[in-house]
Amino acid sequence: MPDLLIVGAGPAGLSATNKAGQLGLDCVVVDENTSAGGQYYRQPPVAWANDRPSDRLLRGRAKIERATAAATFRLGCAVYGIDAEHRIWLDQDGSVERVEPACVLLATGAYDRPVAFPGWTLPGVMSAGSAQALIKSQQVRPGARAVVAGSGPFLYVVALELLHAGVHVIEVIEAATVRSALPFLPDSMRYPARLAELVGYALPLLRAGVRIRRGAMISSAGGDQRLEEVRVRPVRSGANDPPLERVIDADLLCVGYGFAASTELAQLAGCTLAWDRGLQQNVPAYDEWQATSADGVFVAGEASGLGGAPVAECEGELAAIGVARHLGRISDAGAQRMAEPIRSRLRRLRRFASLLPRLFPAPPELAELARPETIVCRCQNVTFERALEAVTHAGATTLNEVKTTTRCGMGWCQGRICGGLLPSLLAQRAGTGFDPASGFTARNPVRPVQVSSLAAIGRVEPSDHGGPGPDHP
Amino acid sequence: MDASSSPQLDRLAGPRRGSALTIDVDGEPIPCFAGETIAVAILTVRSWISQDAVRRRGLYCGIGVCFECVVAVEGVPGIRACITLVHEGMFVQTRLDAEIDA
Amino acid sequence: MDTLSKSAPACDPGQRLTADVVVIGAGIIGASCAFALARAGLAVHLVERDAPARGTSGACEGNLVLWDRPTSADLHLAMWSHQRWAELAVELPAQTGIDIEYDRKGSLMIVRDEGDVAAAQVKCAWLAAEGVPLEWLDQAGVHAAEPDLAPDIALAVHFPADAQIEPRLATAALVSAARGLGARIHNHEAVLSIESSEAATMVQTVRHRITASWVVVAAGVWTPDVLRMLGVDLQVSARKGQIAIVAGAPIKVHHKVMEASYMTTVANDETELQVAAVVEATRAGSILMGSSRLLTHPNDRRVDLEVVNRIVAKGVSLFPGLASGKVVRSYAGVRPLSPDHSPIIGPLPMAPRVVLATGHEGGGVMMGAATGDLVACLIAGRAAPVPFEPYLPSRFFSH
Ligand SMILES: Cc1cc2nc3c(=O)[nH]c(=O)nc-3n(C[C@H](O)[C@H](O)[C@H](O)COP(=O)(O)OP(=O)(O)OC[C@H]3O[C@@H](n4cnc5c(N)ncnc54)[C@H](O)[C@@H]3O)c2cc1C
Ligand SMILES: Cc1cc2nc3c(=O)[nH]c(=O)nc-3n(C[C@H](O)[C@H](O)[C@H](O)COP(=O)(O)OP(=O)(O)OC[C@H]3O[C@@H](n4cnc5c(N)ncnc54)[C@H](O)[C@@H]3O)c2cc1C
Ligand code: FES
Repeated sequence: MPDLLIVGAGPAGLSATNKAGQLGLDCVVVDENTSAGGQYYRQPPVAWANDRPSDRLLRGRAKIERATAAATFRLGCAVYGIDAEHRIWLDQDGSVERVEPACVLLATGAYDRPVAFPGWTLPGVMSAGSAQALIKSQQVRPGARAVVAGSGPFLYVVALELLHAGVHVIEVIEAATVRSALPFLPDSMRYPARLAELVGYALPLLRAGVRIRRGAMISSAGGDQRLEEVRVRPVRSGANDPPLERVIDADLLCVGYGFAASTELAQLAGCTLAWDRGLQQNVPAYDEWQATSADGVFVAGEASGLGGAPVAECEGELAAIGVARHLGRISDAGAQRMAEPIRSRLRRLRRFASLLPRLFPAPPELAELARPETIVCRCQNVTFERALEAVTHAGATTLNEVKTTTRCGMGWCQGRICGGLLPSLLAQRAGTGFDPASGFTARNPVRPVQVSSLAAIGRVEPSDHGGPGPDHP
Repeated sequence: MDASSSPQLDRLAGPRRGSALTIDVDGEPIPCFAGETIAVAILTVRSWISQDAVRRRGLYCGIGVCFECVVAVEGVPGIRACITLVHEGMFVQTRLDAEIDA
Repeated sequence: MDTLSKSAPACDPGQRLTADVVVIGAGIIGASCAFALARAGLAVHLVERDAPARGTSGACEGNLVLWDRPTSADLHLAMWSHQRWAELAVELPAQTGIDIEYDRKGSLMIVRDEGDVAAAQVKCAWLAAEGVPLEWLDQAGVHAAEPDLAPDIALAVHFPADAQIEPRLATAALVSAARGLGARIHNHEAVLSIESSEAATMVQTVRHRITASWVVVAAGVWTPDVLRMLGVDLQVSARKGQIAIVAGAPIKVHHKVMEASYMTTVANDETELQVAAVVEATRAGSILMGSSRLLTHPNDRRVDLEVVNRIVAKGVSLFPGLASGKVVRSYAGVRPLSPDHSPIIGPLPMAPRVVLATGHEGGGVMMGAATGDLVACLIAGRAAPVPFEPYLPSRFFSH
């Protein structure tokens, strides 16, 4: 069994792999994607020739090549479960396997934070990250006429990528305003290069005639079975104030109001969680080596808090050093020596990262948008009205209680989407002390797994429990 | 083809794609290229990926997290079209109706 | 949220309250007790440290099945409960707007192994004599009833009266109905201590001090912890069971389908893992697969994925078509098991104002409706359709 199993081959996982390789750790990397890179270094299929690869793509490719030499990679392989003994269950194309590595690094990343508004389930409405992935890895134009709505630098990155892909980007709807950002500007000025990077995204957009609306947000999406129009409103217009709404014809709406961390595996491993202000959710707590409260379980990257790719990379390296130290492969002093420069870099990066959610907060007004008939659990088509009733009629104060009576969170996605939007939505709309920090209890399997695959190994009576009951096959 | 079903996606001209192949979506042949996802193959011919009893479904997260895009492949349900690559002759079912509702 | 009752005195959130009865635990059992007591006109406070159906009653199936009951005491309570659920299935939605998804779908006991035939015959003779409707099905009958069952299954017993409810919704509906009758619900409020005298009892929670004439302890596998507050030792063991939920399988499961060996796993005292196939469909369209039994500690709700594999393998052997579905979720619950496998319902001999209602093991949903009524009869001093004696806690304290 390996020294280290790394879940996730994004910036965090790849940096950890490269560092672990240098430290002589026997390492396996698992990612359910068919190519390595995660979100930031997302790659097109290897066989596709590309005449004008971006700088980031090339850096990613180099990093992946180095990591591939340093560890065993298992791509297209999902970690579908982890139990309290840290036995880890893998599903590769329907073939199921159990591994028991000495240590695990959870570098499972994040996903776009879901927001429910009328029409958000129409085909053509997607997360900003989704549009980006379509362009970067599949090299397609995700729509003809696009509106990009959300908050933060990622919007401009995506808008620019859409533009380059030939999409007519009509407007960027940014919730933040210069005024709302003002209190944080002095702090931000200490990072001129990063600010210049932000401006660098916005300028070409403006030059291409893309309107950037600040202080505005999505209101609803409409269309017959697909997106045809987007309605936007000033953030502060009071709930449903039709006169202030504008209608934009579009067949693509990209929504990006920040990210949510993928923490199910950490929860199942028994890691202690802590509230993250930037993400507005509970994430695994970790120490100066990226070690969680669960023995031998480490976290790095967006899975444990906002930061962006550079932070994820530093955390990945630190985690690898932490694992080597934990396994006694390097001395504490040696580990400290190696960690010091990384830590000082991290401190600076994190300071900037922590400014972003303050410069670009997701507006609380988003919670005004869902109407009674708006679907909040996409898997089960549960409406907002039903979820709200669980609170106002049945007295639910936590998300798990809402699940009990509505089936929210019981579908294919295991509650990642409704679990990401309901806590703040219900806390604001129910007005009865619903706990905005509550979430669904994570359940194995974290990815659906085929019955036949499990049955194939379940039929073999494990020698350690030869149940003498009358149930021998 | 009415406006509500015209394709969501177009392939960009630049890159050289993988070899041409055909998948079978609910009995209809759909041409596509090695290296593409099922979602891309379907959305280059229409505006939605699947349909349940309540509504048409497209892409949402696009990275394998939300399961909005699930289809059945060779009879196996719950396959995420956004992260699953096509192969020649792949049989994809996109009518979920009541049956896949967990 | 909390509705002040007409009968329960208004509370000064500072903390002292009085009531006729305090019910500890809002699982299906405590909820049923609170409802039955409130209906009997008593001022009830239902105290739950989490929220309704967050214990075992939120991690189980909802079968109202008679044939797996291991003892006559269980069976008689279950038969009464069977009838009560049919009535509640109409009453509760009318009173609360919550549909408990009652479905009289019938159950099938699959008799597959030669060895099970004799046991099934003995069991069925007993059940028939007790008045449980049943019919034996041959190969053609089995497959007419469940066309997707494995073709080699040639013998089964059909119990047409068996039914199913959604236990979380049923618990929620009972709590809501109790509230509608004036009961006061204290969620997220753990009981810390209990004092009991001849005349009254006092329950101290994290927020209130409630004086009451009676206390009902319906704390499931945590009942021993609550009794320890009174210095009383009573064994209620925790038998963990796991469920795997399957979506997308292209089959129909019409009845509740169980292997005959299931009844053995219920009745024995095995401490090692036991697995017997149980398969049922829910109204939402997913298919639930059970069952496992493993003696554990009360707070062990961890899913063992090895056990999921074994459950799934068993389920597929009954319904081969399940193989192409996917497991989307699994969870575990802990069944409260009494030393003699029958429920424990009635006053504690050393503290007669403390009434227990637990120990239902794998039949708490089945027996839940009648358990509430039985407790209400005991407290109100009324006769019940079944004798009290077989359930009394005194049977464990006689010597
Ligand atoms: C869609 C999207 C696009 C983004 N684009 C940008 C961008 O352009 N620029 C930017 O600065 N930031 C971007 N971000 C933010 C981004 O998350 C970070 O900058 C960076 O990618 C974080 O790296 P990471 O290694 O922590 O996680 P990720 O890069 O997200 O990598 C996590 C990996 O874990 C894998 N994984 C998760 N769970 C499992 C499992 N159970 N089994 C197997 N594998 C699993 C995933 O497939 C994924 O490849 C994006 C985020 C998202 C969600
Ligand atoms: C996998 C599985 C499948 C099952 N299937 C069936 C079935 O099909 N049919 C059937 O009839 N039965 C079934 N059962 C059995 C059934 O679930 C139980 O018998 C029943 O739920 C027990 O209910 P309860 O109210 O006694 O316990 P619980 O639901 O556990 O309720 C006890 C409550 O007491 C609370 N509590 C504990 N201590 C305190 C305290 N100090 N202060 C305040 N509150 C406290 C707890 O939080 C809890 O909510 C199954 C069980 C399992 C595990
Ligand atoms: S679009 Fe979210 S999983 Fe495919």
